[in-house]
Amino acid sequence: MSGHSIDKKLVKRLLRHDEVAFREFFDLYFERLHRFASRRLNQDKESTKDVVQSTLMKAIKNLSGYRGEASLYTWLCTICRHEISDLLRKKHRSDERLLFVEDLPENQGALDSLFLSESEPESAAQRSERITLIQVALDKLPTHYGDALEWKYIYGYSTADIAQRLGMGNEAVQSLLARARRAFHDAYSVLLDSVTDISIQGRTKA
Amino acid sequence: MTHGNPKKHDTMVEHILSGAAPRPSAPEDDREAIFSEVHSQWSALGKSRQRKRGFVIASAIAASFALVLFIFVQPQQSDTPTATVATLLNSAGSLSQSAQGDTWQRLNTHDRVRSGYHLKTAVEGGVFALDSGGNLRLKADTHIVFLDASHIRLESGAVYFDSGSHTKPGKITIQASGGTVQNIGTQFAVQSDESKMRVLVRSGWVSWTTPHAGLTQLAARESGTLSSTGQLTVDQIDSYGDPWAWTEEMTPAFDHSGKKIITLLEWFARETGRSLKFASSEAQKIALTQTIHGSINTASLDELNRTLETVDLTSRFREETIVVSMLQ
Repeated sequence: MSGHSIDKKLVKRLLRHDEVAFREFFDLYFERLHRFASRRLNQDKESTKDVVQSTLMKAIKNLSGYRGEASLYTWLCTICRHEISDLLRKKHRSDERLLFVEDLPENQGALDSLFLSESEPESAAQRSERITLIQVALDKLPTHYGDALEWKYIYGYSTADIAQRLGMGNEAVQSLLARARRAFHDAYSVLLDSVTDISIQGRTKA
Repeated sequence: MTHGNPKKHDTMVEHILSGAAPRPSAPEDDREAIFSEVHSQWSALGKSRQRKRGFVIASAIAASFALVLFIFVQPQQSDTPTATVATLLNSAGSLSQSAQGDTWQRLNTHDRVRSGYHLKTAVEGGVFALDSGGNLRLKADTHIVFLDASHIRLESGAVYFDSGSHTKPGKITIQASGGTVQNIGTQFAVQSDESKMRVLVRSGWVSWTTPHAGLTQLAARESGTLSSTGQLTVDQIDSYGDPWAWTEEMTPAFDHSGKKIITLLEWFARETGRSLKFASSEAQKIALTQTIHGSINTASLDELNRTLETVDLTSRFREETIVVSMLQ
């Protein structure tokens, strides 16, 4: 079953007023959406809260419009971008360019840090940017992939602990982690490629 | 689609992720408030749809569902102070405690330690199981004070904290002359003497608040050194080898009898600060399916291999990895 057909099934259950489906939907997307908005709103707590709430309200209202052509997360992020634009317009900040972390040429620092020789220390700013890109890549993955990778490699949980959290066996977790690593590699590579392209374009224009 | 060597990609991904920080979580009160509002709208829309289909839903029932769904599972936190805060698991030499830091009494294995007490190691270190979770290892010539179950003050010497089981990870705050260090699911060490304070992170993430340099966060394989003049420098370190040798000498015993080999291997990898690799899928399958026979009490490669041999496996160190392969 493809990822989008799973999303379509979840939406159908939501439209049938399935309470379990609502909890699943909220648990799967709230945190990722919150981070998505927070990065774009410069970690402004109140604005982030307002945007996330209005995004989810609009999404719930327009669920029947979700066709499964993109993932549900992508669909939610599209709504979120519009909500952010509206918010900034209302706050008379329409002249602010919406700089998304994935697009910032400054994140060339994150790319550069990957190629630093061992003798070159990474600056705090470069480290912060690199970590942000990693977190963006994790959020682009299906929730259970991102969570499993974070638990395993950032928190250092054992396979048994992850298996217990996910209600799976050890072998299933190993298999999940293998798929998640491949998915992260692809997502992270795409992010870095887009950062490099923007940077090259910037330099070319200059 | 991923191209190229999958194993090489896996190694690269592990390396990238191990230097990252946990993704930030939304504030819990924001989560609850947004859940409430969105659920209310969803409920109302649902009712509207059902009315259009000719069904009627009692608003009292919808309200009670909303109330039930308000209840999130909160992490258990014990705020109740307890008189005893830790248990001495083992001590190779003399370890003593004192209520006021003046008169000292010897502490024996399995003795309980009280909040507010001073503890000192002499020529050997000691390991404590903390009531708040995780274990705390004290190097030789170390002096600490247990402020409570999850707070200690490092007067001098070095301590190593392992947050332990990640279904109930331990939390600790360590105060020293150079600031306060808090863990976020980690293995880390803090060293303090008159001239400097050093924090070494093996896995996970710590935040360190210093009087002069403010808040610093250190990730896995980083160490921070604060000089007596207040200058903080951050360096890269290995998660294995010499900086951690003293902690491996006092590894708490791990009850793994009857568990799968993979559990033992992951424990060993964690204790030695290395990542686990299998030389073949056959070796991995054995580790995932076979049960441990025998026991192992120290993080010694020789001891590990004696257990692995019973299932035709063997292991070797290769820099930052433990490679497990079939016994030839």
